[in-house]
Amino acid sequence: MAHLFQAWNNELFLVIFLILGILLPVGALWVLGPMLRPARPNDAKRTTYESGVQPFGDAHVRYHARYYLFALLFVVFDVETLFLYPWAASFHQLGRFAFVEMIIFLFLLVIGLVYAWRKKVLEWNE
Amino acid sequence: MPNLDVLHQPYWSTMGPILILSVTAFVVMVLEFSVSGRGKRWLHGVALFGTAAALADAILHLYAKPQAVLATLQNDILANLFTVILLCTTFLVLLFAWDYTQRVPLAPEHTYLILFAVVGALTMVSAVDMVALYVGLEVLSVSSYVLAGLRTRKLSSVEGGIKYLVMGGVSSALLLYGLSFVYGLSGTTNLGELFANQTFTAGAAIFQQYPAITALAFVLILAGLGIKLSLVPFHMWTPDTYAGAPSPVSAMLSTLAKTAAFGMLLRIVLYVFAVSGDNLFYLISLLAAVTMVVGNLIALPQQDMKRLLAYSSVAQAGYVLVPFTMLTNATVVDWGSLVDSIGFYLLAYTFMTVGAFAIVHVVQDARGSRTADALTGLYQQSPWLAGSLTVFLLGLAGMPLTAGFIGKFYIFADTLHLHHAWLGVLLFLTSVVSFYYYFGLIRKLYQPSISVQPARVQPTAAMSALVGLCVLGTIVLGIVPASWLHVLAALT
Amino acid sequence: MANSGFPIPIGSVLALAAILFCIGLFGVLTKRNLIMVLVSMELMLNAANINLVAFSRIQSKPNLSGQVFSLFTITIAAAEIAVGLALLLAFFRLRQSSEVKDLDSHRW
Repeated sequence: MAHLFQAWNNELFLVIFLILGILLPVGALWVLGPMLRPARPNDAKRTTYESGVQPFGDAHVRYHARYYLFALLFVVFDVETLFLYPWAASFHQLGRFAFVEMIIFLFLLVIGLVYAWRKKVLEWNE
Repeated sequence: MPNLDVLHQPYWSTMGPILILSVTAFVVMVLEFSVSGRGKRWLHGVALFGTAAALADAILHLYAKPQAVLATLQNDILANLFTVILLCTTFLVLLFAWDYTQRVPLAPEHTYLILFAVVGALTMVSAVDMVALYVGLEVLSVSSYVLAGLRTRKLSSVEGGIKYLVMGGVSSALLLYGLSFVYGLSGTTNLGELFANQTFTAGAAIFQQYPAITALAFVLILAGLGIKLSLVPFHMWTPDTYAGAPSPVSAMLSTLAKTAAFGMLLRIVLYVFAVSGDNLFYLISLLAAVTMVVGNLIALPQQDMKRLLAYSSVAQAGYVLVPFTMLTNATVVDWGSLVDSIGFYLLAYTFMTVGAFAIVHVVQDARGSRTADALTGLYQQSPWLAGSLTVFLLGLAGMPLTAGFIGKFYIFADTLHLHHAWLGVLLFLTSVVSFYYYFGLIRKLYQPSISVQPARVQPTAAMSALVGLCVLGTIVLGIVPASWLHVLAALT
Repeated sequence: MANSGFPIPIGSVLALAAILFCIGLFGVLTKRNLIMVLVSMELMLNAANINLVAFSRIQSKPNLSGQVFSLFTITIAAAEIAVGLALLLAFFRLRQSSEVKDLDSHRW
C-alpha cells in the first residue's frame, strides 16, 4: 500500500489541487459571495467598468484596420530575434565572419524599416 | 579562430549572379523610396542594368569549374544552365514591366519585388542544401504573392493573389513535410552529401529499408512542387491568378517561377530519388500524361486569352515533365541529354510565352478587351505585332522552324531512345489537340475586322525590344538549335 | 546526447506531427473563413517543424541542421502570413468580406 501511495503520489497531489482549484473559485464566487454581500443594485453599479470613463457603444467593436498594419510590422521584425539569439549565444565560436553577416542582415532589416517609414505606414492618419 | 579567409576564396564568384542581383534589388529599393515623381522612371533601367550584369557574369562563368560555397550554393552544370535561362527571363520580364507601367499605373515596388523573386529563383537552382532550397523557394513565392496581388484596387488581382498564396502555402507545407522525411532518413540536409552517401550501398540501404517513408516523401515533394508548376490535379489556381495578376507578373509566374521549380525538382530528383526511389517514377509519368491531356483539353473552349495562355502553360509544363520520368534508369550520358532537353525547352518556352503575354497585353490595352475576338484584324493594323504573335503561337504549338518544334523533338527523341515511347506519342497527340486553339487565335489575327475600326495598337520602345528579342530567340533557336546545343554539349 | 531529456518515443512525435498536418490540410480545404485558412496553413508548417526537430534528435551523430531548418521555416511562415493578412485586408476593403466563397470574381 505504501509503495502504491508513493507511486501515485504526484498524481494524487495533482488531483487534489485540481479539485481545490475548481472548488475554491466556485465556492467563493457563487456560494459564499451571494450569502455575505448585500444585494442593492442600481444603474450606476450595473454599467461596465471602463476606468471611470462613461461607457459608450457596443462591446463587440471592430478594431481599426491600422492595427493590422502594426501587427504585420511586428510579425516581420519580431522574428529576426530567431536569428539573433543563436548567433549571440555562440558569438565567440562563430567569429568575425558571422558578425559581418549579422550586421549586413540587420542593415537590410533597417532598409525595410526605412521603407515602412517613408511610405508613411508608421503614421496614424485617416 | 576568427577568420575572414572565406571572403578571399575565389569560389565566391560562384555566387556572382545572386550577389549582383541582391545588391541591385536593394539599390532599386532604396532608390524607389528616396526619389520621387519622375525619378522613378529610372528604376527599370537600373534593374535591367543589374540583370544584364548578372547575365554577363553568369555567361562568363558558364564553364567555370564546379565549386560550392560553404557546401550550400554550387555552380555546377545544372545551376549554370538554369541561371542563364532565369536571367534571360528576368530581362524580358523587366522590359515587359517597363512597358506595362507606361500604360497602367502599377506600384513601383514591383521592380525590386521581381528582382527579389529572381534571387530566390537563382538560389533554388544552385542550392544543394535543403534549407537553402526551401528558403529560395519561399523568397520567390512570397515575392510572387505580393506581385500577383499588387493591383490592390482591382478585385481580380487581389483574389488571384489570395488564391495563389493559399495554394502556395499548402504547396510549401507539403514540400517541407516531404523534405523533413528525407532529412529524417538520411540525417543530413545537404543533398550533395546525401547523394555521395547514396552511391555507396550503405547510404542507399536506409532508403530501401523504409520504402513507405521514401514513397511518402516523394509524393509530398512531388505534390508540393506540382502546385508550383501547376501540374494537373493541382492547377486550379493557375487561370485565376494569371488572369488577375498584372500581365508582366503573369508572364513571370508562367516562365520564371516554373523554370526555377523545374530546376529544383531536377536537383531533388537527381540527388535523392534517382538512385533509391526508382520504382516511384511512374508517378511522374502519370502526372505528365494527365497534365498534357487535361491542360490541352481545358484550353480548347477558352475565350479569354490570358486564361488560354494559363491553360497552355499548364500543358507546356506537362511536356517539360516528360524527360523527368526517364531520369531514373538512365545512364549518366543520358542524364546529360535529358537535362539538355529540359533546358532547351524551358528557354524556348520562355521566349514564346513572354512574347505572347506581351502582345496580348498590348492588344488588351488598345482595344479594351482580351477575348480572342479582340485580335480580329490585327494584321491590317500592325502587321509586325500580328506576325510576332503568329511566331509565338506557332512555336507554342510546336511547328517546324520554331524553337518549340526543336524542343518537342528532343523530348520526343528522348522518349523513343529511353523506352517511354507511349509518353512521346501522347506528347505528339496532345500537341495536335493544341493546334486547334493556337490556330484559332492565328486565324483571328488575319481576319479583316468587320465594321468598326478598332483603336490603333501602339507598342512602346521597351515593348518593341521585348517582342524583337522574343521573336529572335524563337526563330534562332528554331533554325540553328546548334547555337544553344553547343553550349549545352560543352557543359555536359 | 541523442536521447537525453524526455524519453518520448520518436513514433509518438511523428504521429503528433502527422495529426497536426492532417488537421491543417483539412482546415485549408474546408474552412470558410480566410483567416482560418491561414491558421490551418500555419498548422501544416508547424507539423513539418515538429518533424524536423524530432528527426534532428534521433540522428546517430548529433545533428542540429534540422533545428536550424525549423528556425528558417518559422521566419518564412511569418513572412507568408504577413503577406496573407495584407492581401486579406486589401480584399476586405474591396469586398467587405473575408469568406472563401466570396473569392468569385473569376468565372469560366
